[in-house]
Amino acid sequence: MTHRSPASRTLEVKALARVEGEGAMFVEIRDGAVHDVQLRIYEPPRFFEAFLRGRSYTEPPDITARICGICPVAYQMSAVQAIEAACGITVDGALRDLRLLLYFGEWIESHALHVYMLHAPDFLGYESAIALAADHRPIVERGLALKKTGNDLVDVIGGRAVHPRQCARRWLLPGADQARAAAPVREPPAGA
Amino acid sequence: MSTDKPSVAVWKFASCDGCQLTLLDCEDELLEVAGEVALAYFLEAGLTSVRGSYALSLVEGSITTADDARRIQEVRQASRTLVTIGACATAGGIQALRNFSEVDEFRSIVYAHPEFVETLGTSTPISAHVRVDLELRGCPISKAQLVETISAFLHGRRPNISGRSVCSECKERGNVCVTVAGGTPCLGPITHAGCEALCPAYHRGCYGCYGPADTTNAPSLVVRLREGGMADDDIVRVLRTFNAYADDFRDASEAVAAGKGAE
Repeated sequence: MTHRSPASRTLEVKALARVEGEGAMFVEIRDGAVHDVQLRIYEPPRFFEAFLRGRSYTEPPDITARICGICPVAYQMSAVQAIEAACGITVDGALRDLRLLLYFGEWIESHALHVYMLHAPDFLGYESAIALAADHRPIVERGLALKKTGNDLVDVIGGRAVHPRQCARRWLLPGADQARAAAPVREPPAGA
Repeated sequence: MSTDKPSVAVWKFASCDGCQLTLLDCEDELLEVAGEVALAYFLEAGLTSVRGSYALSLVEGSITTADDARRIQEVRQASRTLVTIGACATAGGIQALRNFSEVDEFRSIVYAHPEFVETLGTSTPISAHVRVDLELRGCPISKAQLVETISAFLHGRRPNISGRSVCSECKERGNVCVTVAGGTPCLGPITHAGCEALCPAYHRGCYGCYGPADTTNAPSLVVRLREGGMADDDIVRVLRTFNAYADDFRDASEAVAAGKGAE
């Protein structure tokens, strides 16, 4: 960060920390008023929308998970719901409950990560959760235990914490067989 | 932090953050590991103080921009040991699907203003740009293999990571073969171990997220997939996901796409 005077200054953050994806921020303040703001997202493009074309309807949940390793379930779920909407399938009962549990697991993990490992050090004046643990180990351990609980939930229902797999067809596309019977679509490839 | 601890950095290139998150997901080991090393640069965890050099760099992601092609050279120069973590860094990742297509077309259909988006025509693994000391496979990597790698590094020994196939892990786990018994197509015979045969354990075929095993016979598997009734375009697609540009998977998918490999 660079400062000129209290009323006129420039803030430049070259790398935004604690987020998935890379970005930078530039804020110019003149005479006490914000004059210019630039947010630069330099996270390289990966083109998911382009390479999803031509894929079988069973494939997007496994592929879209890879958009983000911190919230893969959100992307899997979005793909699953889009496909189900296209096929006119409604999911309820125990299966819907299992999906919610899977989602809750991701939320618990992600929120514990954010609160304990990313935000708390900032609020308490530490560089990182590691540095925070040197002075407040029980608090960081509590955060890690909470985080692990969320991961365990995703692990039990989805098979693993990052990019869970046991979702796409067996758990989350119960109507896949009906959909195939109703419409002439391509057979799924290996592993689907 | 005392200065005699080896400094460790975590770098990100084109990727999803999932492999570096695996380090933070080592809830039971994280504080212990952090006590043994000086975590010096780890943007996702908020550590931004770049120091002169690092004893160990963990590199996630593939090279897809000119800036990143330059940055990986700097990372290599600043690192005594460089380990790539995951399918993106080791094989180019799913974003390497552009390598089989035209990136300009990809860019024009995804972005309203493609002229703002800088990208290379290919997504390439770190080893295509700099010397790599060890590659950890997986999309995502295995927590156990990551902890083993860091532990081996701290003790100055080679990490004990097997290059065998998922089939070996299936046997250890006592899985019934999904292909032989159930007729389900499976990439297990050519896929690197590390997931503990996760998918076959749940009666799904392996979809290759650990990339090729050390020794593979992909043409033979292609014959078997065809015998099982898979169409060639389905075989091409299943080989073209997270490790599409790994040599063995790429060669196999290109052969099938060209109508070869059945002889």
